Amino acid sequence: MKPPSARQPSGPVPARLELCLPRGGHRLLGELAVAAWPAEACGLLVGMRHDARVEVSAVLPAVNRRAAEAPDRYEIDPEDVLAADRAAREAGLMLVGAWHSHPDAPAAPSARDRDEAWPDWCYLIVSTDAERARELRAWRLIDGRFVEDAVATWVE
Amino acid sequence: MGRVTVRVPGPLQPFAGGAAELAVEAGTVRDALAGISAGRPGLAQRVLTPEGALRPYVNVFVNERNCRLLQGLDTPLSGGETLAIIPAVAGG
Repeated sequence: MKPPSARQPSGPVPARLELCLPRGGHRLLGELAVAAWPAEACGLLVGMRHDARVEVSAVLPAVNRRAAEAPDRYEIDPEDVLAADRAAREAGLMLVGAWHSHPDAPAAPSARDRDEAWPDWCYLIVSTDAERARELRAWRLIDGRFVEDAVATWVE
Repeated sequence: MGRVTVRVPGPLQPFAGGAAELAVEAGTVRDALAGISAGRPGLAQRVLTPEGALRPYVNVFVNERNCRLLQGLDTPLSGGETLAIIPAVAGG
């Protein structure tokens, strides 16, 4: 990843959401991130968005088609995104965001993450080294700057 | 020319009045995108460039086939197709 940009636009800070992961979601994300190290792991988040809460029902792994190109890039094949979107809709759910790992780097959005992010979508980032995941943080791009959301485990 | 369904991805639904799908009369993909964007400037702005081209980080599928691999925005529609606007998911 590239270093995060030093400056972000100023202005009022939008309200934080709570991103609720399914039971085992934290562990799965960590395992996938470590398994892909030193490349970036990536995938999609399926669930439902409510007012101040995003309930993630499933953490989906995806193939990083940029993994062989560079250790600091990820991209999910549009066909895979289409298939996940269709399956989510058929289940009465939707794609609520995406996740990826930052090998040996903080779980903060890079300049490239910001350039390629969709506004108001949830982006989960897992910081990892070769042995274990270090940190998991959630972000949304609002008016050109990333806002950090809270991450919780969804207890049914 | 006929009625097609356009699936709107989650990040764009706020710009489509909260709709997950929109129906529109269209003869091409360009028509369909223009149709759903009418009166919804926020949607148009996020899908098309000011010059009217598809934004690089947006893919439009026509019945499961990426329109970039067909005839792009000029891909003809006869009616009954399902179009899906799919965000590119990438970063670093």
